[in-house]
Amino acid sequence: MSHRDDDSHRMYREQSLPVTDTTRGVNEKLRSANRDLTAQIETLRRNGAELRNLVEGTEIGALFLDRDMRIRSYTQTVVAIFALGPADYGRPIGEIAHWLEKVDLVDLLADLGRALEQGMAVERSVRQRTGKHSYLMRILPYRTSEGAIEGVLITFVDVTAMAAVEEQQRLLVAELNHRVRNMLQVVIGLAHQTLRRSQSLLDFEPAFMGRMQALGRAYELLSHDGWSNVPMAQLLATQLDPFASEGNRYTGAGERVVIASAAALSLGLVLYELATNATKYGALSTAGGKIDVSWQLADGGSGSEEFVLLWQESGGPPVRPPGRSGFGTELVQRQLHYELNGTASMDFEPGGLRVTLAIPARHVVVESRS
Amino acid sequence: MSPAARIQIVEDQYVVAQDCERCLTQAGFECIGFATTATNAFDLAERERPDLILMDVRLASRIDGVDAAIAIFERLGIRSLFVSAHGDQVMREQARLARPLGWLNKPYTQAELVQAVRAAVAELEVEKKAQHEAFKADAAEATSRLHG
Repeated sequence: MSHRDDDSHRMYREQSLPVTDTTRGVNEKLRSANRDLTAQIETLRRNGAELRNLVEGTEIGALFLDRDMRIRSYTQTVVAIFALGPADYGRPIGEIAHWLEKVDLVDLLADLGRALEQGMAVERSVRQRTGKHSYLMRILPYRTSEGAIEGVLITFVDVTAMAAVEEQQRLLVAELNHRVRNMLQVVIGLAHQTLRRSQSLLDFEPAFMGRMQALGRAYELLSHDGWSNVPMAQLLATQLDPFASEGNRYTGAGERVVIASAAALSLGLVLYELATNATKYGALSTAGGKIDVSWQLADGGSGSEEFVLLWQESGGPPVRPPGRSGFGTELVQRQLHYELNGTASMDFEPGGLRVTLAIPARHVVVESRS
Repeated sequence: MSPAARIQIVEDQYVVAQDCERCLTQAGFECIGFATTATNAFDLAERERPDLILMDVRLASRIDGVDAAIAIFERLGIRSLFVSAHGDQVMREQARLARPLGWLNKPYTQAELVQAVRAAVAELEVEKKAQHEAFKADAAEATSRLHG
């Protein structure tokens, strides 16, 4: 009791108020309210800090506008997008919208108006003008805890990396689309040329199908390595194995080189034509014949380097130069010249056909000199 | 009908170029030569002065068919009928500088090729006739002024 008396006495002096039971009760309540408030403020402050950490951590930019579309507050990420400074509080959004590309101010204000008046949210893809960052911009109504709309919130999610991946994907699909259509034109060309030289459909079918399969094998080889370069030995095996894999009917020897994709397609088709001719008329048409293929980089004269491939048949039937040259022979003789600025010569020597193919060395990369 | 239109083929694939030539020759056109790169295309056009160029937009050179066609049109006045394997809108927009005689999408059939070339030749003839008429009108006016 005495403790309370002393206490009351001090209060009396400090506040110059008559000490009654009522004031004592009020004081107690005030003190208690003060403690509650302090605790609540501390909670709010902690919540605020957590929210700030969360927002900055996710790097989602947030821009708060009041009912008049003036800047009320913003997060750190937004500073970078609009180059904002302390003087920009209260500035109309229209004055900073030029920092975004692909945004029409009239459309933006319409979106903001719909968010404010109708509570409608909307998403737009935008790009930052100077930094070239891409953002997903969301415009949302800003609601008070009672649910009333009191302004607009604009959030920005950085989607630059995603946009780059999408762009790459778009380019890849366009490129694939291009190659497919281009290849179909080649197929049409091969069909016409094969048909023209065929006596009947019975002739046409195996000749055409053979070329389609050769084309297919060449494309398959290319796609293995992401449409880059193809090792020469592999290119040769791909086109010759179907004809000569049993009994080692062919050999291939040369430097470890890879052929650029366009040249590999061209050369692959030429090797196929040589192989199919050998099967019909040359070394692979009899049991004892074989083909030796060798290649090297050589001086092509006037200081330019050439990739030279030698195709030598032996052990086949007696060689006769063809009377009427077919499309296959025409392709061998002319395609490399047309497409790669190369040369092809066919020598019908008594011991076996010898073909020399040469293309500029720029189509070839040496992997290692051995 | 005027003499067979002279056509230059710019295409970097042998089989396609051959097929194209055969088809156009059968349809009564004259193929004056082939090119696989932008530089060759320009040189051939300068030398042969074809009526029109069948121009593939993707070539074996760093410079594409669109840029080659623009250079050829601006310096030699020869227009191109473009052949393309993709419908890139940006590229088509750029190609307008060459006053294209049309676009042919790969893969095309022989009939589509012939039809596109016939339409291109017809457009060139209309243009030539209009130029001729304009020239005649100018000449007539000049003559009457002289006599009047």
